[in-house]
Amino acid sequence: MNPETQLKLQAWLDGELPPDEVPAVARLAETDRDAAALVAELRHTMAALANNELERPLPESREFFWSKVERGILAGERLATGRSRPLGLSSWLRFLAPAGIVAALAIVLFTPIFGVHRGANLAALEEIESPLADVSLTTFRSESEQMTVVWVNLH
Amino acid sequence: MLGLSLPALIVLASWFAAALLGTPQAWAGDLNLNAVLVWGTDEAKPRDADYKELDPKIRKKLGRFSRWRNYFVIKEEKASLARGAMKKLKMSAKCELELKNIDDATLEIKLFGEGRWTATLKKSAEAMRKGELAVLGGDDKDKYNDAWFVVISVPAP
Repeated sequence: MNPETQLKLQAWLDGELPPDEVPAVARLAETDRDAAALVAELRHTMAALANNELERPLPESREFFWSKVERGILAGERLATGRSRPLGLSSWLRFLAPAGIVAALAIVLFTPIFGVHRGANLAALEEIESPLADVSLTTFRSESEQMTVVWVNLH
Repeated sequence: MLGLSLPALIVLASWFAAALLGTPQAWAGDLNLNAVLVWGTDEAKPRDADYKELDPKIRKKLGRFSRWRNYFVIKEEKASLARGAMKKLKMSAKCELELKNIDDATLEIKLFGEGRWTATLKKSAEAMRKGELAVLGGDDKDKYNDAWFVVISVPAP
């Protein structure tokens, strides 16, 4: 039996089948063995659910429960429309905390008392140039001797 | 303290310390410089000349790059540069220097050869204060096989 036929049988049992299809499906349920077995099983299931479902009472009435849900939605909408509170100290700290970490790292990296060798970084600040076309410059850099030599070549 | 939590105090202390200590230039003061014109040669010192021998420490450093047997000090000049200040030094008839403390962080050295602006070297002022040397040099046009050097340094306190 194909799934479409099974669905039609279910709908027939639930009273949701279009009227023009009811006679054909009813005849099928009576004449077809598989259809009859499915109908019987569905009827048993419906009866079991109808007769044996546990009643679970809510601690509050249905109206009260849904009014709480409604209030929660309205409160969320109020926040979303942008009614902002003034920035408190906690807001500033959330901004300053990562910046403070960066500042602390800058102190550690760039303060001499921490003994970090920065010769290479300082050498990177050097610039050498000549405005003359008949002059070329050759640069020697020694980290060990801590010196930069610019050799001026005249052509 | 002040109703602040420990993390908040650490953040504020870091900002305060960074403002005070973040850049050495905050307390740098004037940049004091020595500029020395040096003659590099394999010849002995002329008898009638009163050239001094170059400081041994600087001579040793120069020797790593250059091959001359002797280094004589032709002239020595000093300059003290406040932030933004510039000073011109006449090292010889053909050699002038223009030294500028750009922003306490950068020293600009301009070399003028025979009146022409020949080269510019910018160095970290902090590096200079730590003992680095800035050296410009070239072949002596008047004497084959000799060389000239200008050595700029910050004198030890």
